[in-house]
Amino acid sequence: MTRTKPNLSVVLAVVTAVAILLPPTPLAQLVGGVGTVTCVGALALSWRRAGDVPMAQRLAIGIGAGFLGFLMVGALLGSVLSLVGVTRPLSRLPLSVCWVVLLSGLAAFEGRRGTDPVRASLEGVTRRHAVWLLVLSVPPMLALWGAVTLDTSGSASLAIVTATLVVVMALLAIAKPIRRLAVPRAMLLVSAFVTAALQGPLRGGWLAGVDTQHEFYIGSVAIREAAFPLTHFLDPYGGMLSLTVLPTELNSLFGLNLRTTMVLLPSLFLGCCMLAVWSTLRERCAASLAAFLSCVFVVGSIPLLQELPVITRQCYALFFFTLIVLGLTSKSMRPSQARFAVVIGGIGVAVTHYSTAYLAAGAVICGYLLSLAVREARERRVLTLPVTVAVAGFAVAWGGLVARTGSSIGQVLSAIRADGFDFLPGSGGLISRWLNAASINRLVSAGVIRAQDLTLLRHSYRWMTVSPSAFNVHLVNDPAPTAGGVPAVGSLLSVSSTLVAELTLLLAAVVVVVTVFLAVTKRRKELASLAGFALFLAVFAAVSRFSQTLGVDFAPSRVQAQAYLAFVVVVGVVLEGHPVLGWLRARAASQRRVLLACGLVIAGLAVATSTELVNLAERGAQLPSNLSMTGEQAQRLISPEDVEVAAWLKANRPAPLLVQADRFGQLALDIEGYNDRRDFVSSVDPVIVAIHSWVFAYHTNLAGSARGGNNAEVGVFKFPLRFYTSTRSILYVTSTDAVFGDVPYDGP
Amino acid sequence: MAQPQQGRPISSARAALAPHRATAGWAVAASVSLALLGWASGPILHVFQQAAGWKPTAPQAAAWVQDAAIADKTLVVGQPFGLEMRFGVSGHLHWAERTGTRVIASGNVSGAPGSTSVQIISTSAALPDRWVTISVSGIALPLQVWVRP
Repeated sequence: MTRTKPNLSVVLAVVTAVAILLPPTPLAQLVGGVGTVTCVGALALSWRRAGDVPMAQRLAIGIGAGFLGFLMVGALLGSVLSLVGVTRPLSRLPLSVCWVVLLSGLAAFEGRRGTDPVRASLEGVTRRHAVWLLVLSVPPMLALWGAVTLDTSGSASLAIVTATLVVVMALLAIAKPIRRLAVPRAMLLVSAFVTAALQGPLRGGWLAGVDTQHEFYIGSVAIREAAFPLTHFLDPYGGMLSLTVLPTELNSLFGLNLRTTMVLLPSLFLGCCMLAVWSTLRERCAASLAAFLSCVFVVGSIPLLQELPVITRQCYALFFFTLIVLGLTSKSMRPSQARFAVVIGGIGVAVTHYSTAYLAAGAVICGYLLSLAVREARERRVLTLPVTVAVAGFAVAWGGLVARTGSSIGQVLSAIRADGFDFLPGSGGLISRWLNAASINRLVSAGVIRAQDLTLLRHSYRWMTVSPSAFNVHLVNDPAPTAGGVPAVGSLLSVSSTLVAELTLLLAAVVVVVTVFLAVTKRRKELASLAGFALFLAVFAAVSRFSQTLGVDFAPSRVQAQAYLAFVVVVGVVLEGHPVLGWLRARAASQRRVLLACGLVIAGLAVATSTELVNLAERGAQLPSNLSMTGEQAQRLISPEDVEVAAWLKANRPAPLLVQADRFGQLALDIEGYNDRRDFVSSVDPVIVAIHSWVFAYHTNLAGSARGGNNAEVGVFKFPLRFYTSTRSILYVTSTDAVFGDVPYDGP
Repeated sequence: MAQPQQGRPISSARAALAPHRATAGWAVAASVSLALLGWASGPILHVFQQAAGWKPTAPQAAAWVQDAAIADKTLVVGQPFGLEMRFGVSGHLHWAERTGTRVIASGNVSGAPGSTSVQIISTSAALPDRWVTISVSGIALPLQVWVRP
């Protein structure tokens, strides 16, 4: 007798509705969040009849559609209800009612129709996958545990072990013995990637990262107002659903706090990027080669692992970006399904991160034009006019009307008009300038900072009254501890990892050129959209890498991370059926083993570099904050105490009274909205500290170290504590932080 | 001989209802499990967090001037000001007011960790055109305000 199968869609919709109505518990939060996205995503997949699409691609598109649906429902509800006078449309009651009604309607609809889109979406998912999912969710938890241990006890052992585990998992995904273990390679890669990504965000005890502090401010304003659009325009961040509607919905529906959302979700969505990339590559390459390329371009990408987990909005956008690439490349999807994936990706990018959206829009237009130029068959073309208009139009409309990014773009254009592109800045030979490119995090000496500050005082801060004794204070370099390293091995690893990185870049550039050539010469017309798309990214990545002016606004490393997510797929597409692969297959088993060993070494080096393990081995290298309590990077982190003092400062120092802090103490103030305040100057160098400003000294300052400079150059110097204590009142103290008041009217 | 009953046989109707019944059963079971396990998941997560050393931030001793704007600008000799102190884990704080190197007032206060206590600080004995400093136990840097004649 066959057991009657329940309708999973109905069950999941009911359980998700119950999870929303229950008090917020960790399980209810998990079930509610996953259930909502799954129900909406599965419905979208059944609408596009995507049952025959390979499982990994189906899951990626389903997650994308579900997540976008979750965002758009919140945005629509916020906009519509505010029109009819509801003051907090995204608070718990309206949102719960909306989602419970939607889920009940969905359950009734599917029950009556007798269809089960959730079951259809999960077709091919077996018990083996579920077991490995549980097993492979342990390393990400270890990463969180390692970060907490580093924060609380100062021990880096667990963090280093976890980083090593990431390297091992990445190599296991490539190596053939994995077949015997029956571990799905995709899950291994996703787990490795998420684990590495989760090592950073919790460091410091608060949230690590620069942009993330302002994102937190926007998120807390959105949760407080429970409205979309926000009741008053703050800046373009306020128009991004990833920073406003997402945290508000999660908070109102499931009681998820903002910090948890910002630590966990971005890394999980980076994991989804890995899934989408893998699913695209796997169609074109053998499993080992797909895993190797994923390791070198994605898990081994330094910006993807070290910068993006703490730029939360871009993590969501990158996932949608990979859906565009998936749509452009997939062989299994019908053109209509591929167009659907591209449109979902394009809209998703537009509402989550405007820079990525403009980049994606430019790339899509370029792809469309190239496919027109080579006269790709209309019925097979993915980038049709409606699709291109949808992606580019949504990016421009959302960026222009909702996020109002005009002024940001205007600033970039003004900078280019004023300074030109300033290609290959810095000194030294062509090779060193090539390697340094327009690096925006160069460390300089305190003397350079003082010279810059005096220039600023003469020009930008002429209005500032400075204490005369400030000019007697000399800035003294305060170098942070660096890695002890392992002699010879460290240098070898460092040179090798640089070589791997540059060769990867070269490979990407070559395959983009090859793809364009194949498309333009009409040998492979079907690659035209992808070739145009990749060409635009390559040109933009090159310009932002070598232009100091653009590099300051569009961090080149972030553009590179984005471009690599497309390039890795292009490499797979070009290699598909290439004679080189046939030649490799024809080699004897012993030769293939040597090639595999070479691949493992290259991938291992790339991943060891992106997890920053190589830094520990290189003598004199900066100690990574993910793996060490000391070092320059760790000094930049902010602590919960810093955040608390910043909140007191904001409450007691109303605008427009001036506040100052060093470049990283400023981050604690950004959480209170100082990023947008005009009455803030980022400096604690006495020569540009006004006598009537308040000065916030965060824990690193009181520990003796401070930072000055600008986006391009940062200098580390000893915090002039004696100068401040002898000239200023002290209004707030803890064992780690202080707030210095004015220089008294007739004071010393 | 009795004629067979018209309409759908009972066994067939049951069979048609079976998927709905299975769905309803699963939905109810999953919802009840969610409620029960969800209720337990909070404490379980708490235990895991404690095992991982994940503790809520312990309150840290802190001190600040109650009306920062006045203390910062216009304090004159004899004018009192409020000093607010927050207790750390120990729940005890000692404070001492100095003008130059001379202690002019001091005291001990106790309270629950994380709670605050307000002391009114007199500046009657303070020297004019000098700093008045208030040291608080456990905090290296003292508060200080300038007192004018």
